[in-house]
Amino acid sequence: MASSISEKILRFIQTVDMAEFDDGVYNKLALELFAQQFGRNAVYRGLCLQQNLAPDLIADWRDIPAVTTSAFKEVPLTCFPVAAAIAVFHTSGTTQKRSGKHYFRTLDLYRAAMLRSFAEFCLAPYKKMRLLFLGPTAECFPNSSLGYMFSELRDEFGDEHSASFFSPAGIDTAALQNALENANRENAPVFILGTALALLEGMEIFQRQNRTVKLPGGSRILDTGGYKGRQVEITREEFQHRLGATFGVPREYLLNEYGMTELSSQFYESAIPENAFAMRHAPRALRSAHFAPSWVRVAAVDPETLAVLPNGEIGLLRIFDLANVDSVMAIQTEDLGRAWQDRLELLGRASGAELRGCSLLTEMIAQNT
Amino acid sequence: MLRDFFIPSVFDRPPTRLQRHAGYGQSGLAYETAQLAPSWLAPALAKLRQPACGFRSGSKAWQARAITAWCKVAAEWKTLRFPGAKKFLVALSATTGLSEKMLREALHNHFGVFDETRLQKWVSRTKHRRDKHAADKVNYPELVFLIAAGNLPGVAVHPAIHLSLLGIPAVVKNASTEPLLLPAVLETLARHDLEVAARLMALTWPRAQADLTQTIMAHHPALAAFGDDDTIESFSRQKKRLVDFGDRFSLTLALPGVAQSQIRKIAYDLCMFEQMGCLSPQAIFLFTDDWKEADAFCRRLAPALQRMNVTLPLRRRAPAQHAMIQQWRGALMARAAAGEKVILLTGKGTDWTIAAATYFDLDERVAYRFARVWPVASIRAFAEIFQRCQNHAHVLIWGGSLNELQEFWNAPELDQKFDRVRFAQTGKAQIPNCGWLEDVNPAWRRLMCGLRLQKNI
Repeated sequence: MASSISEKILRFIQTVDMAEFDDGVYNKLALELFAQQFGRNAVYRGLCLQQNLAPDLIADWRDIPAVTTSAFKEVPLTCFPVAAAIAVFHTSGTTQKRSGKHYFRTLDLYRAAMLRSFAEFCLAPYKKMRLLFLGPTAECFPNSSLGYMFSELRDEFGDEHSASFFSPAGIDTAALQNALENANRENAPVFILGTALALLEGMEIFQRQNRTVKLPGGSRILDTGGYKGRQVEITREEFQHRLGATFGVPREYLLNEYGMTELSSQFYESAIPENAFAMRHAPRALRSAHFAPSWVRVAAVDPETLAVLPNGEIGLLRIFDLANVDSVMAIQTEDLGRAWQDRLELLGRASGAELRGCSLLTEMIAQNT
Repeated sequence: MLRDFFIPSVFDRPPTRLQRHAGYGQSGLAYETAQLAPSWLAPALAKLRQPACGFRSGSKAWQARAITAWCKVAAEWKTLRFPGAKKFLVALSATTGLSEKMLREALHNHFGVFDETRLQKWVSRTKHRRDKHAADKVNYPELVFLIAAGNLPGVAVHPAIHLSLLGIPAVVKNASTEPLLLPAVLETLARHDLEVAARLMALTWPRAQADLTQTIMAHHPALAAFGDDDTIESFSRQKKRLVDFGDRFSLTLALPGVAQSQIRKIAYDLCMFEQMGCLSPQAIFLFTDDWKEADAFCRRLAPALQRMNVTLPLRRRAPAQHAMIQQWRGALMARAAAGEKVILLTGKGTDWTIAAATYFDLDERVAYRFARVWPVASIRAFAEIFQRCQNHAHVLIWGGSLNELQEFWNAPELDQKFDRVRFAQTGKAQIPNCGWLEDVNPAWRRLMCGLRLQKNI
């Protein structure tokens, strides 16, 4: 019996050689998935037909019609009845009041994709590490895709000392400090994972208490998300400098994740020497690039016309994620960057913040007074 | 020389340096910025702070003098006939992202409402209100700290003129995104009357420089903040005398058979300032239950928006603006694909968009010539929608005749309280009269009348 496209993609995720770039296999899977989504996802089919596009007219993954991330706020985008969803992840909705929803019939592909790319890009050469979380976990934030990811990473790759220090009540810095001191005493490398905002808050508390640590060799830190919403924004360079200074972690072990609720896969900025994929594929000038796993492609499109741009040109990022089997694989983001099929350079995220009548760009100085 | 500050000549000047604004891009323009420090600001504020003229004895002479000076300023700015006007317009276009032609029109509108009669009338009306509420009278503040919003040029000009007419000393914190207009206007004022200008100071500093804000707050000013709701809430927790002007927008009301001349005005209101201001319509309510009429209205609006590319031309859009437009369009396309009634008409690229649907979330703002046409079957239906957003919707723009407006106003279904709403005719929404701020903001009205801030008039 012929296997379903879901099974084929799951097998691809689990077995593909991440160091190889095979666009032929990817394209075949992408077109097959597009045909299935066109057939089963009525809203998506409607969107394709608005543009007079259908599977028999598409031969290249770049031409597969994309859905804007905003669409997830408006309608369920699923290839199955919404009632059959076993999980739904909500977007955080930083500037808009309604959140988008991504429904899942199964989390098998999501989990497989997330574990494989994390192991390859972030964890090598280790199989397990002491994972310390400064971000949501599924127990406290059941509708957060990041929460699900952190919990699964903890269960799969965390040793017995792994723990979360983040809850709706805030960050437990005393416990974190304790965990870091224990790791130092045992000379056990740790992996701190958190949102950029939580890491900043943690660092500020440490700095107020004049605390710094020098984590054991091999330790690393991964941050995700932006710093918007802070009273005083800082540059990425400054953020990384402060991270390194506070925790005693060298620059090449400071990693970044780029993901979004509307996707099932993640991109990683990772220059750790053990990440053979990154070292082989990225010239030195591209060390700031975020790498896609083999089941994801990225293109930049012209912001005005949405036409796909050549590699390396600046545009809005459009992501093609095979792990989005039961929703829509082609997602049009509002993020600006350059793309080279399997990697991207993030240049900025569009913000709706300036759209608040006469109010929005008023300097946020209230907390400083 | 372009400057992001205005410091009256009676004050010592802090050191300055040249600054390049991010919006200038490759144009090579730079402006002079003051290197502010608490050690300079504290004595300057001590000197600036003084009893206001208000309506005490001798105030008439001050008011006459201030009116004369401001009329001269308005005359120069209305026609852009002041030294360096051309260079200034180029710079303002770079900092705001608005085209020079649009800015020329906006400044003409903005300053065109200030003439001797109107300013005199404003003063008289303010005095009348103050006298009418004698029990609430308090002394005018000796210092006002005005925090300006930066999304539109010139939003601080109206309040600065009001403060000036009453001789209330004020320090304005410019938004760093558009720091040039108010200092330039105050330079013109100083050229015409040094003494009138000496009660106003406009400064710019980054938000990270909290010590400057703290220095001002230490002088216990009356605080007027044009900020978003979070900013206002944060200030209101710590400061009792707060005049807030938070997140606001406007709505257009129209009948489907509205004349084409009115439709052109609807397009004008929508396109001026690229729909980014609190006077810009966030939706056009069309009184009809016939979808075909809505469709016909949209198709009549389309050429009017297209024409605005010439009347109020676009400057090049930033990628982030394109991105937002594409997302708004994408959301509507998804709703249409899901079977909702949606009309979506677009210009070339992202020039303009018209979207008609049976529902819009007005908490989600749009801009950049994005017309949301919302058909409503009755005044009652509109009233229900309005009730949900009346804390933010502060101007209703009427796209019809005055008789029709009268009928609308008298409709029994309108049992809402419209005390914070101002009506404007289409084509005039972006040309507020010189007292509009008080019409829509009771707290500002009370500050100007020298009344206790806790109650509304």
